[in-house]
Amino acid sequence: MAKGEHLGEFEQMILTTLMLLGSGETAYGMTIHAKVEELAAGLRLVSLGACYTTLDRLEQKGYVRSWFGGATEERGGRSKRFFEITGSGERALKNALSVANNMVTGLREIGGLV
Amino acid sequence: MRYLKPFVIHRIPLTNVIIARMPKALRPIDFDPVVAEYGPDFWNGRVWGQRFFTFRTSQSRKNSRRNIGVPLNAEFLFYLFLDKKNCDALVGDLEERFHLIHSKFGRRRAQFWYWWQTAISLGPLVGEWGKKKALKPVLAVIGWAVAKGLIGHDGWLAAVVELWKRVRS
Repeated sequence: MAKGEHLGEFEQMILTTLMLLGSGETAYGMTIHAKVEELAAGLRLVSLGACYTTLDRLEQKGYVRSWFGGATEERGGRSKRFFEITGSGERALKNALSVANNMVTGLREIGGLV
Repeated sequence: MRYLKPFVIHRIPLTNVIIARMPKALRPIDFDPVVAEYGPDFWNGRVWGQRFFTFRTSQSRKNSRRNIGVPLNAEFLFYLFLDKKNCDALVGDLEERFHLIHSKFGRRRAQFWYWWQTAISLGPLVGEWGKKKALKPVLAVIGWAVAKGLIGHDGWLAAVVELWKRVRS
């Protein structure tokens, strides 16, 4: 994995969320934010702004694609921005999680983690 | 044409009452006894042109959504650091959640939540905006200063630094 392909912790959380929410028009700002908060389980503060900046960064890297939907009444006539993980995003997440998995396995072997 | 008929009916005494008592099949299709009695704009709060009341319908509530109390000042802060499309998407997300909280916990808590989200969201957004917008001009100024020999040579900057050192010592 090249250095530029490294994923930070929050980026991993966002990509995991996108995979959990699946493709189609289910993953947009509010659902992503709620799911990331659920994954963080109160261990870190998650803001909607952080979600958007991270999603923008991931889109620039080519791990995520986005498109705008139609305007809805409950949002004050504003459109939703939907997100979807790309193939390279899935590969990058898989690599990052395999590294984390190796660390967990190594620690379990020496009894570091119960 | 729709409202001309009740108007005519109104001008002929008791005609509207007679028509209202007729079997439904025999009435004019668009006959409305209330409109016949009070005029075409009754449901808009007027009796034969005279305003008497303003109804608060669900539609008018939707039109005056701002009355619910979405904090405009907080919303405006996003417009400073985001382009229009992204800003609309983000503010729309916040507003969607705001309405959920408003219906469950009330206006004050919903406003508090909105401001709290604005406060913690602005940090990353301003940082990103700074990288995109402010970094380039700063680097350009430094580059210009280097090219002009103001930095790295005995220019005004070196003199200012020397002065600062003397003041400190």
